[in-house]
Amino acid sequence: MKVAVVSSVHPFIKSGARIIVDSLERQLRAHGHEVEVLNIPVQFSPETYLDQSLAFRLLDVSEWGERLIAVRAPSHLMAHPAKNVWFIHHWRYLFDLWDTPHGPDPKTHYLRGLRDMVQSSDTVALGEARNVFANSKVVADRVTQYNGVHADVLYPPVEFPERFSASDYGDFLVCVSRVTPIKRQLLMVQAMAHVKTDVRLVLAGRADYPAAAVAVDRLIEELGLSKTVSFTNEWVSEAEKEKLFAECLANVYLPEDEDSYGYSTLEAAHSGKCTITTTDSGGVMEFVQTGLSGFSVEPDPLELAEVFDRLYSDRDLAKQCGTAALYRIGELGISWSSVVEALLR
Amino acid sequence: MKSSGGGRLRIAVLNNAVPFIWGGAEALAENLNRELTLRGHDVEVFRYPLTWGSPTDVQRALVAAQLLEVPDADIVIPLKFPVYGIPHPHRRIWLLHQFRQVYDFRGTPHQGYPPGPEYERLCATIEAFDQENLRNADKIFCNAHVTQRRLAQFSNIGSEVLVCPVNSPERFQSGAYEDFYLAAGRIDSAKRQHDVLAAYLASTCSTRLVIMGPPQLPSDAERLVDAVRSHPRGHMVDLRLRFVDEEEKLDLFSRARAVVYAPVDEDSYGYVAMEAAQSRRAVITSSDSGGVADFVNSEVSGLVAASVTDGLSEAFVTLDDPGLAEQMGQASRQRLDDLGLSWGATLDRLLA
Repeated sequence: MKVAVVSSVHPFIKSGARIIVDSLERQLRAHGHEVEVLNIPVQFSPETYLDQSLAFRLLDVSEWGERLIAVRAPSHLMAHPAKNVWFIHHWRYLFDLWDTPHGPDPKTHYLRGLRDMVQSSDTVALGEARNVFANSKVVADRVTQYNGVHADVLYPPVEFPERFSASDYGDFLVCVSRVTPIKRQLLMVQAMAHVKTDVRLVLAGRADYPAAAVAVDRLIEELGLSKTVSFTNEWVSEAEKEKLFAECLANVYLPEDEDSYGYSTLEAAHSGKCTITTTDSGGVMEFVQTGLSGFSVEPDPLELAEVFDRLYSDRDLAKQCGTAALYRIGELGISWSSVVEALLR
Repeated sequence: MKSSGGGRLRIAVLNNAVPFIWGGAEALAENLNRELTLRGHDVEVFRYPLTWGSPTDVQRALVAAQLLEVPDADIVIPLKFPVYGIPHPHRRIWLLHQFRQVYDFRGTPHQGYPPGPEYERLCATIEAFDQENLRNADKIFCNAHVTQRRLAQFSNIGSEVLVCPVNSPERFQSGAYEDFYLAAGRIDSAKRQHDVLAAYLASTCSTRLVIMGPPQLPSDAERLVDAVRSHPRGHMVDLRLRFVDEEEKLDLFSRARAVVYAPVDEDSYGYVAMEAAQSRRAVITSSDSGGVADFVNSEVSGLVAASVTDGLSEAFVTLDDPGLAEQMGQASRQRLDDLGLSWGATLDRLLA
């Protein structure tokens, strides 16, 4: 089948949505389909987002293949006679983050109007689709809440699961993620100030912007943690990432109300490692069953430190939970063949 | 200019996209990506869908371009209409061509739209769009003298010529001058493979002909198949009307007697002609083939026929002589080298 995949990107940033699109392209090809991919730059700016949305609507892909798969907003606004949407998230600033510190302040009339318009256009565009899928239950629920549209959950798989394995349950925890406030690396560093064991923390990933890196560096210095917390502010290669997961004790991922379980959660699980998260992490909670395939605690440095120490002191527990995390992947039915089948319905 | 450090620039190459079609512009964009990345820049290629079936389709695409943004790029390198209209403070336009349907194709069979007020409005809109968006760019480069001349003639805008180098030139080898002419490239009416074939069938030459490339439309392929089927010389023609993979293509270039490429007023030298030269093959073309005719030094590095219906048949007879084909083939490569094309020099000018 001829298939077009459309998405939006922020240039020069390697986001989760982009990884999904790249993997999806290769997987569709591997399943014998002809694929075209369009990644169109967009700036999520209150001043110009409506203009850009209109542009997406005007760009004509109506003859691009027998199926159109739209991934990151606002690509779902593109019109096609056989469109399936794999919805990653709304413009969070205007919706689920609206009433949080990450939302707008003040909530001007302009922003309220913008929110209404974005909501209406999302609703129209999602209503046009043959099928709407969401990358997590959290997002599916939001699609229902904001747009009154039903979305089936379609979890994004890791592309090359065979590359991940456990070689050790070492003395360090790892966080592989963009470094940015919403991913709460600062909370992890704070927790490290309270550990009683020799457990270490490796922050692998590049800051979204220089100030985010400075904040982490400064906190490490202030708390005197330069021996136990490492942060290089560099993007890690796939090989480095696989090695980190293979050797670590467990994965730490504390996003604030994340849309999905996060690739790192799944990559850790393929490596036989469990994930430590917080109860307010959103989609991560769909994967992590606390005490079984990972740990979720209150977003509190002391509670986190306790889990860090516990896993450090009890490697059998780390291994047990890591193995349970690996089984959890199958339990949730996460696989590329089911994704490809669903998106071509 | 602001950069992400150490002379390293974040560069976005902007191109159009037509689904499931891969042509010269796509190859240029990919090679720009490759060559810029090799030099340490952070590069992304973005493709924007364009349909032009009706004037309304074009107007939509043109409005869309002006509403879009390319955040965080230090510079953008747009290659085509209308993506050079996507706003950015540092645009280095490398123009492969304007929207020819409203310029040099106007009033010709290639105009593409019925004459009338709707077409006239389209012309006026695009002219205004070009004035606004081509004039305020950092720099405009054209890929051929023909494009540069047209830009001056139709829009009164000055530009520099920056020829697209051969992509990965080291791939092209030179072997014997065997018993076949090679007509390469996408098959469509503007590339005139049907005229080349007619001239070949009418010729008395003894060298065979291979036509290879993906047809734009099924009818483009059918026309060639029909012509061959009904003709007594049809058995001398080998039609490979499909996407030809790299290995097969390079092999044919390395062994052909000469390469035939006679498109309608081509904008650039044409990859086909330059790749032929890289493989030390003479190029047979027509005087109305635009940049290709500029590229070929007639009777030295190839043969330029007066038109596709006048002189091509004779050119096929002339190069029945493999010695002459080899001599011209060597001169063809010399011509390419004399033009001083390299990726390094090209990118220095583009980014300067």
